[in-house]
Amino acid sequence: MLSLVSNPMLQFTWLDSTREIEVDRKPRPKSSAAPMATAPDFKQLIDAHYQGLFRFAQSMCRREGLAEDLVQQTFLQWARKGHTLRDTDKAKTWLYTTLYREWLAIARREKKHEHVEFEPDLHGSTEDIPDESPTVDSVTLQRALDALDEHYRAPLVLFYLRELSYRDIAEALDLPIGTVMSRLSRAKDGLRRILLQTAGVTDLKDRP
Amino acid sequence: MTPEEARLNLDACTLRPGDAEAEARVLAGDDAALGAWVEKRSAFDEQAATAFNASPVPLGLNERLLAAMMAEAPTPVSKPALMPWLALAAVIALSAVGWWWNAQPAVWESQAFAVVSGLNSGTLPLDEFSSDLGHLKAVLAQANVPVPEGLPQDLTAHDTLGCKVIEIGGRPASVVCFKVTADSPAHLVTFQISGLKGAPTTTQPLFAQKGDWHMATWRSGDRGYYLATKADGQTLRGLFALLMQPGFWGRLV
Repeated sequence: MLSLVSNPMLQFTWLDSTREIEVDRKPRPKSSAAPMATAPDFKQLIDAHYQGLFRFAQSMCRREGLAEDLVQQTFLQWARKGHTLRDTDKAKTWLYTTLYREWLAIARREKKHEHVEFEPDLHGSTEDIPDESPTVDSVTLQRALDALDEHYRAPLVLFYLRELSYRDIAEALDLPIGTVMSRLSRAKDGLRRILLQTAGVTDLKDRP
Repeated sequence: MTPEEARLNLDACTLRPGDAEAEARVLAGDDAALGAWVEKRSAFDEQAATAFNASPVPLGLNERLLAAMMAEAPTPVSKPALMPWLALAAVIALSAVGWWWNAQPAVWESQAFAVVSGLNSGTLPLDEFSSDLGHLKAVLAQANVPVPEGLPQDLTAHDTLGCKVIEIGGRPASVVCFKVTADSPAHLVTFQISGLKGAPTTTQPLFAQKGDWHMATWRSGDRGYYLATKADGQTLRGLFALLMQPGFWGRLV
């Protein structure tokens, strides 16, 4: 991020144009059933999960500012409602579930204009995937993930985060376990295909 | 379990093989082709997961999230107990809460910290930009919010970046940002202290540290000041060098 000191005008101008999450901005009454979480509790929770949540959010919305907002909104929801969770072992799944729901609400409001994304059913899923394994780095991987349809991208990103089991992923995305397994499998096929195609294009470009 | 079901199940567990169904694992052990397929699939998934988890996360995001959460955390309220043993439990709990509460930063301090964290990270925009403190004070005075006065000369010697009208303890307050070092601004929050629990009580600055933040708090009349920066503690203390000279405060009084 640009330094506030080096160019404050540029930074704040940019921020003003950044879209913010619209949900839950009204002042809320203080509840007597308030959570009694302490700073260390919050700190532990944040430190343990903020990176994964940000990567998930970033993969879904593809905008850093909005991804940060989504993560913040998720933790604020925890500050307000986390104490109602009886099984504290489920905190991680709860956070991912909440973030995904926040994102779905925003995506519904935005109603982005149509653009073509990779869908295995429509874009050559019947073709055999070459047996070779493509090479990936974080940039090529993110680009390939961006090309996947959201229905496949969401479970695959949660899978690659290594944070949740496929059963937890099903819970976070509110999908049947069988659906998650089949989407994961097809998403991986789609990802490999995109990476191989992209690698081919790069090779051609690199030729003299 | 059919071979296709086993394949799907194993594919969903390449990064967590222990999660796979026992029956699927047995099938993979018996079927060399399936076993080889899973192995290859696992190798690619390991590579992809490593690449995915190497993608960058904004610096300081965890601190900003913590500041926002602390600002959001509601104030605990006690409920009257109906039975003696419940009353006793409530007393014990309230004592613990009281102890905890006293050990926590005051609400105004959490709010001030949330604001300066937001400004520093760029998630909060300034209202007015100017390198002239006089201009910013005029803007704040016009907005009818507490204006910083009687600031240390070592602080006012630095250029300002801008100012913002905020709320501390539910009342209007202001923040002015100074360019004290090349890459770490200092944010001065000015607020009314009357009726504010845990407000600064001394006219001499009290220094504190929270993570990589360094803070100074002091009061002057009914105004409270909270100066926070990510510059090192020595830089912050240097802003009060003149005031810290022996006898200075006595001469002021």
